[in-house]
Amino acid sequence: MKNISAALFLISILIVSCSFGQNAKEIIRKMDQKRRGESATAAMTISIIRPTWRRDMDIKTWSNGTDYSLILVTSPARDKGTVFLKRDKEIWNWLPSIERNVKLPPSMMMQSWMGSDFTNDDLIKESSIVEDYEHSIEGDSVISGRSCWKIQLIPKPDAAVVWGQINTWVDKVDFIELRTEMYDEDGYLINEVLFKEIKLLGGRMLASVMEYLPLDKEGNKTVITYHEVNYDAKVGTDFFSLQNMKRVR
Amino acid sequence: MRKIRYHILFLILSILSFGVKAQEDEKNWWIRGYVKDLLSMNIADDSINFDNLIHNRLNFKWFPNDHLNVHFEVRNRIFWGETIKEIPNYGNLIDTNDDYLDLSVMTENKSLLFHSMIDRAFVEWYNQKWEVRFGRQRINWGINLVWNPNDLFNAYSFFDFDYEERPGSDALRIKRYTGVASSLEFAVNAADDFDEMVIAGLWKWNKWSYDVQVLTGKTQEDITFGFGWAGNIKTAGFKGEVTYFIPYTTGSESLLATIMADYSFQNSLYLAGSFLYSSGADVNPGLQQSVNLFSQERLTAKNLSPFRYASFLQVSYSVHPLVIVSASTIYYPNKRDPLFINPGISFSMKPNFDIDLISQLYFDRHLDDYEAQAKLVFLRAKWSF
Repeated sequence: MKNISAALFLISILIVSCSFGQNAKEIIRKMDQKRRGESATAAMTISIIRPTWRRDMDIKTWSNGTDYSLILVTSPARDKGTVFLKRDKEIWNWLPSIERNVKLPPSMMMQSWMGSDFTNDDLIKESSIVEDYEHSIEGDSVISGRSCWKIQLIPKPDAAVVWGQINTWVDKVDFIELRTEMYDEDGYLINEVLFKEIKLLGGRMLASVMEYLPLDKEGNKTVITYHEVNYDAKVGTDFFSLQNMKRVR
Repeated sequence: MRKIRYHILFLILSILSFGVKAQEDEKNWWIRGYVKDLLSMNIADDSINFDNLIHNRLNFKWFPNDHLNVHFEVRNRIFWGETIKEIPNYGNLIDTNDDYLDLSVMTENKSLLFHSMIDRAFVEWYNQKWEVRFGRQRINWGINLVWNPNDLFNAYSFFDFDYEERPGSDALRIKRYTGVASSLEFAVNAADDFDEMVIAGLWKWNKWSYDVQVLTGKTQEDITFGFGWAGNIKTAGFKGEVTYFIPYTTGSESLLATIMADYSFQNSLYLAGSFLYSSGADVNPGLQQSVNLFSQERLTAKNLSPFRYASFLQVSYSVHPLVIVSASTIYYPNKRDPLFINPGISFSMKPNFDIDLISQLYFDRHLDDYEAQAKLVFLRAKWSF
């Protein structure tokens, strides 16, 4: 009898922890889907902020899942009209001044995007925070008056990801990422991302400002400010063509 | 009376401001461009020539509707300095536009020269599948960074770094898109004489992550066949262009082939290497021919280099997010060991203001002395708007 109750107790713990694990993954999935959408268009400003200087770049983006994206630079004047197209693993760069489409080597993906704190890969591909990690709820917290879960993400053994661990705080009502910490493989905190100015974007409650802070560099940050997001625009995969690189404006 | 005037003024202002507002909301045209100042130093053994060039480009684009574009681009340049004083008829060296229509004006005195040219002027009609362009335009069929044997209409010189837009052609181009990365293209340029015309077609498609193109046509006095590709080996870029010229008048057949590989490291170090073979060129051209590399004369796809073999290496590195250092070298394997070295440093001073310091050095052997035959240093400021 004792044994049975012990076994039942063990099973119930297992069930609870299983459903807990399931929940954490579901939360991350909901959060991820909410921001990404099936296909979307957006207008945003990327600001690279350093102690002694700052550069702002305005871009418009079109995306379909993680495989297809098109980025148009609309400011500064020097780079206006430059377009990047990604189709699966291929990337092209349209340079309007010389009217040429340059195919970029895939090695360029790992480079910092125009001097910012993230790589081309961060911006265009993004390894899947749903599929590439094991998730667990670590506790509850409150950020900017919003009640949230703290979720820990540990990469799966075979996942090709950069981080050793990620902690993320997700709003319990709107499934919005509020804060994220990225740790390297030795457990050191490397980057922090803060999500601010929550408002309706494309009909969804989302953080319109993301601040990316590399913690080893005082005074450095990259800020993404969303001006407009449209999740209703159906952007089919045929849109991501060499022809449209010349047509978007 | 004064009151009425005030009202009229107010009315005009409000109409104007409404007009401006409407334009901002759905503006169907824009005007952009830049102003550059290029200070050049030509260093000789016993003297240095200083020259200055103010260069303004205006790009105007109008989209009257969703199927029509009008492009109009002007290049205005003011030259002054010692070289103009020394070289008689310097203007003729600058005004090398050999298009069908002469769309340039020039005024010149002893030490100052103003040159203005319409660089692009075309109308483009397009829909989902078709694109038709008529007028002065750039038909860019090249793939590689330095040499473009496939660029039948407007081959360009790597040494002419201050003209990144490259010249246009007075031409008609019809393009049909057959897929997301595939198209068929036909183009013909205007010329007084059939022997000067270029009439060619290009077919482009994408397979196994490679962009591939084949082309054929008539370029000046040759029947031309060519192909090119852009793809990758692992994560490095791998590109190439090959063109074969068969003269239908006199002269001999020639083959131009170039391959290129490039790789970008995570720390922003970028490496590119390329090789050119041109069967029609001499293995050991004379020194004068070699120094003519820098001439302002326009190249054609058939005579990209006076040397039969040419190899290119470029390294660039971002030492600071706003500072890029780079060096390009071209080595021509022959008995004189000609070598071109092109170091440069580029500073982003403000979002739309850049400063570049560039040098071009050309080493060659002359009467047993291996020395720099040309030493040029350029300081360039560019403001984009």
